[in-house]
Amino acid sequence: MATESIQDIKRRMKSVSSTERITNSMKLVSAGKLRKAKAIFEKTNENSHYITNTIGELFNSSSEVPQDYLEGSREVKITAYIVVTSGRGLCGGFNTNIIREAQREIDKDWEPPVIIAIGSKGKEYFEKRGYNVQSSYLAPPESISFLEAKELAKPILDMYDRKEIDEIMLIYTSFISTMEQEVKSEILLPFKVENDPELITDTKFIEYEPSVEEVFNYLVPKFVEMKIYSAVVESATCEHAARRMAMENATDNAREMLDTLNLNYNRARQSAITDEIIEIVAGSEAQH
Amino acid sequence: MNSFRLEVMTPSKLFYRGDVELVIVTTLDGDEGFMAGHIWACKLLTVGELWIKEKDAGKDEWRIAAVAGGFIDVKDSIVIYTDAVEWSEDIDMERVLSEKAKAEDWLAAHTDADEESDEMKNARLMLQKAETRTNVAGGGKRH
Repeated sequence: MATESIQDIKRRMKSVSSTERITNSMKLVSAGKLRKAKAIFEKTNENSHYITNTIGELFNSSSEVPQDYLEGSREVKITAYIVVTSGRGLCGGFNTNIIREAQREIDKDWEPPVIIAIGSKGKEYFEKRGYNVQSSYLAPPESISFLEAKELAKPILDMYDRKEIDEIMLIYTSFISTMEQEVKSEILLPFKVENDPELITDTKFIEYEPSVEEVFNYLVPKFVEMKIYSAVVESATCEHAARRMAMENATDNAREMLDTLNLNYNRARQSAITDEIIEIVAGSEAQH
Repeated sequence: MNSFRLEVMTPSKLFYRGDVELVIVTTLDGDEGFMAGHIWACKLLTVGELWIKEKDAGKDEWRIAAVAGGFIDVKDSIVIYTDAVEWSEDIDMERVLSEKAKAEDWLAAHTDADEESDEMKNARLMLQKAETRTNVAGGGKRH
């Protein structure tokens, strides 16, 4: 490395160390946001399980369920995809993974799909490729309120009721641990009834008021809203976890580079000193 | 008296969990009270008051909250699910009044609006919520 001058190495070290400082502080910021998002996610998760279970029981225990919401009630032609990505980059493979999965699902369809993009990364991708992006939500996902999720769900449900779409699929990143996240795709409607014998034996007489249909017509949209809300919250948690990981890797890489550069710098300095000594020695020998 | 476990949930948090003797909610048909051992039921709620009598509470000791609709699931334990709920002591009257004024202004300015339109329904709902919260903050309609 003697070809590199001490000045050049010094300059590179300076730029790498400032990058390291940036990635390291981004890592710390993400870790803080992750902690906050995780707390919200854990609370939401419990509730959404409860609501999904209630609806599942209702589907299984009642024979008066409106057929429109059940699997097999209509031929599935047009699918609406709700794709939950992030609004910001620098989070490793987070967005790439989710978009790849969405694209794979879309490629299976014959009819052009309807896309609802949550997060600007997904919106940009699908718009660039000429898909029909019906609506989008672009604010930072961790601050979504249930009311906003409700407004997001409403046009989708209306389209389903008008039979403009036949299926609603939700694609999001599911949180396993801070180290591991997984892309998940889930069909929200039509609802698939699991004729699970275990659930059915448990049917006692249940009073519905005002009527089964009314209760049902309230619960199904609620189910979709809840699912979207919890998916966005979960995805936000994953985004921060992914960014924290990406930034940690970047910081580690930067430190490794700094170590190597430091070694090279010392070597270059030493060889410069050696050169000077040789010159002096050679000069003094020549005088003898 | 027999008691049962009551949970009140919103999308973002568990609002209340505890053993209670009696809970009164507003269903679509009016106020309805539930005690331990009630037949299993699933009922829709409107904007209204939630009255909870906790286990071993005195005769007139109630906890009161304002509920923005939802549903009640009665099994061996009772779960109330709602979009929003507030204890009477947490209600911010200033906000309630400003929301109420907003809704009233809208209704006054749009007397000819379609009764079935979403805006109309929203304005009426807002007014109803504001009135319920005013009542609840004042100790509820049973006082």
